Amino acid sequence: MRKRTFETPTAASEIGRANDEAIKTVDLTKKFGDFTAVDGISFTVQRGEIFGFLGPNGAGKTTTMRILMGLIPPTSGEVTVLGLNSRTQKNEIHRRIGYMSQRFSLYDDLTVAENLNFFGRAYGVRGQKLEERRTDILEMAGLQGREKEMTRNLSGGWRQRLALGCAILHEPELLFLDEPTAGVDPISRRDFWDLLYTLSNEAAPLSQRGTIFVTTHYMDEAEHCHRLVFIQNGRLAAMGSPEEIKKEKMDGQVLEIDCSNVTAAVTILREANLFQEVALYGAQIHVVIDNAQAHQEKASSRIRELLAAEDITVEGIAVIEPSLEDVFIASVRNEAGQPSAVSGQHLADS
Amino acid sequence: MLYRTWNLTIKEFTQLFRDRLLAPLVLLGPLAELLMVAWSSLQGIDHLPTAVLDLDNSNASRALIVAMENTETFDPYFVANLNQITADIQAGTALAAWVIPRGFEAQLLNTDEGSSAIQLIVDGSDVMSAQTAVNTAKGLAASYGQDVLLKKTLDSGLRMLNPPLDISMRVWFNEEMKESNYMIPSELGFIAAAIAAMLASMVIAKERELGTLEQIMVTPIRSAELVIGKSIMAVSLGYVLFLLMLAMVVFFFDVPLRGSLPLLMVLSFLYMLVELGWGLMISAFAKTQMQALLIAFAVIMVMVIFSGYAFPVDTMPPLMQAISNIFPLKHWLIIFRGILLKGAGIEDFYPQLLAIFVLGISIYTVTIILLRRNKLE
Repeated sequence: MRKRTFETPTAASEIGRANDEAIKTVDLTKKFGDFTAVDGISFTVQRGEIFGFLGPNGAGKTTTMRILMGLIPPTSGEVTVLGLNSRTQKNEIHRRIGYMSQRFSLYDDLTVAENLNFFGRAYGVRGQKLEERRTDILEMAGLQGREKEMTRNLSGGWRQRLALGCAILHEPELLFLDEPTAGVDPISRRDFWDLLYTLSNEAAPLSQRGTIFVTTHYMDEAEHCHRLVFIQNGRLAAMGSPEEIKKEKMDGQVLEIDCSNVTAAVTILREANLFQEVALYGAQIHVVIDNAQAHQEKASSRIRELLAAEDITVEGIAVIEPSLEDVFIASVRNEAGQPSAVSGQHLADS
Repeated sequence: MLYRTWNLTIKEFTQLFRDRLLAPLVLLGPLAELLMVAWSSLQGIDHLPTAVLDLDNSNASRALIVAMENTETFDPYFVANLNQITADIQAGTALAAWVIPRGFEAQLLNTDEGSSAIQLIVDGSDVMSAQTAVNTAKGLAASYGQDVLLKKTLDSGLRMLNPPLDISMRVWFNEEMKESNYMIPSELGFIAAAIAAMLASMVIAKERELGTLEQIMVTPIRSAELVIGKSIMAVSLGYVLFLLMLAMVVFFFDVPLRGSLPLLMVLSFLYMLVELGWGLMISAFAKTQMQALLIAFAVIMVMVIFSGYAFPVDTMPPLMQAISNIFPLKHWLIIFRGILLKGAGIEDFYPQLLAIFVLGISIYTVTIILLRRNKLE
C-alpha cells in the first residue's frame, strides 16, 4: 500500500517559509485576442500537495501552467508562486521550480549524462554536488550504466524518467508536470506515479515537502492526487479532494452493466434517451441514473428489457461507486450541451 | 551569468561535433563554392568563338584577322557565306562574327574615297561578352587603322606628327584591372555572411521546434544568455570559415592583402558577430527550422543585391541605396576591399564601422526583445 499521508507542517519546518501556499491565483484570466483561454480561475495549492489540474484538451491547462511559471503574463488576476509574484519575480521563481513538459523535451543528440549536466548547470548545480545529484537521478530513473547512451535511443518510459530527472536535479521546491504520462505504457505510468509519491513524501530528493502540480487527462491518475481542480472552457468546474468532488458533482448513481455485445448495447441504451449518461468502460457499461433508490430498480428492469429485445444477454447489473471518470464525463457532456436526457422523470413516465 | 552562458556554449559545440556531417559541410561547402566562383571569374571574357567571312581574301584582310586573333578576345574561324553566320550565331556556336567586304584592301589603300568598312555582328543576348567584343573591336579598328595610316605617311616621305592629345592612364589599387580582385572579395564576404545568417537562423528555431526552448525558458537562463551562448558557436564556425576562405584567395588566387592582417582579423570577427544577428533575429520568430531557413534564404537573396557584387551600389536609385545601408554586408565590403586592395587603415572607414556597430546593437536588441515576447507562441 502506498504511503499517501502527508505530515502536517511542524512549527520548526515553517521557519523561513513565508506561508503554506505554494501557488495562489485570484481571478486568473488569459485572453488571446477574442478567445478567453483561462477565465477567472482562483485556486490555492498547499505546500507538499500533489495537486492535479484536470480538464479536456483545450481547456486551458497548459496555458495556466505557463502563466504560473511566468512564461506568459496573465491578462488579469493575481498569481503568487512560492510567495513570489509571477510577473515581477519570475527569475527567482525559475530558480526554485522544476518543469517537465508534455514532450519530455530533451536534447536527442546529447547523451543521458550530458542532458543531466546541461540542465543541472543551467540551475547552477556544479562540481561535486552535480556529480552526486546525477548519480542519485540515474539511480532513481534506473538509468545507471546508460549515461553514455544517446537520448534519441531511449524509449518512452526512459525518456520520461530522464526528463523528470532533468527537472528535479536542482531539487526544486515546486515541480510542474504537464501531462507527464502521455504516450507512456501503463506499467511505466504506474512506476512513474510511484516515483512521484517518493518525491513528494520523502525528504530527498525534492525539498522537504516538495509540491507537485500535475496536469493530466487520465482520470485514474487524478485519483492519485491529494487535491485537484477540474477546468473546462477555461473555467473552474470543480475543486477539492477526489472524494469531495465525487460527492459534490455526482448527483446520480452509477450502474455497471455486464453483458454480451457491449458496443451494440451502448448504442441501444443511448438511443433509448432515458439515462443521464451511458458510457463504455472496458468490457462494461456504466449508466448514470438519478439518485433516488426507487429509480434504481426501475432502471435496472428497463435496461434488461431494452437489451433483451435486441437479444443481448445481461450478466449482471450492479450499483458501484462512481469513479472520477464517471464524474468528469458526465460534467463535460453536460457543459458541452450534448443531449443526455436527464433522469428519473422520463424513466418514471416511460 | 557567465557560467550559464558557458554551459550553453559547451552544449552547442557538443551538438555540433556530434553531427559528423554538419561542421565539415558548413566549412567545405562554401570553400568549394568560393573556389568555383573565383576560378571562373579569374579569367576575363576572352576567346569568344568568332565567325569570319572574308570576301576580300587579301593581305590586308588576313593581317586584320591575325590582329584579331592576337587580341585573344576573338577566336576566329572561317565561314563561307552570310547564312552560315546567321546559323552559327543562332545556334550559339559563334558569339561574334566579322564580315570583311570585297575590295577591303583596295579601299584601305585609297582612303580618298572614304574609310574602309568592316562589319561586326555580336550576340547581344550575352551582354557581357557582347560589350567586350564591341570594345575590343573598336580598339582593334583604331590601332589597325593607325598602323595603316602610319605606313602610308612614311611611304609618302612625310614626317610623323605627334598626336595632339594623349591620355596617361593609371589604374590604382588594381593595376591589371583584374576583375577577380573585385569579384573574389565580394564573393567571400557574401558567402561568409550567408553561412553565418543561415546557421544562426536555425539555432533557436531548432530548440523551439524540439520544445527545448520552453524547457530552457523556465530555467534561470535569460534570453540574453541564450542569444550569446548560441551565437558563440555560430560565430566561431563562421569565423574559421572566413579565415580559411581568406587564406585561399590570398595564397591561391593572388588577391593582394595590402593592409594590416591583424586589423582585418579583428574587424572581420566583429562583422561576423553582427551578421549573425540577422540569423538570430529570424530564429527568434520562426516557428520551425524550415521556416527559419527559408526566411534566411530570402534575406540572403536581397543581401546579394546590395553587396555590390552584381551591380555597384553607388549607381543604384537613391531609395535602393538608402535600403542598402541596413545590410552590414554593404559596409563590410567597403572595409574588406579597402584593406585588401588599397591597404587602407582603420582611419579610412570610421563611418562604415559606426554603421556596422549601430546595426549590430539594433539587431541584437530586437532579437532579445523578440525572444522575450515571442518565446513560445
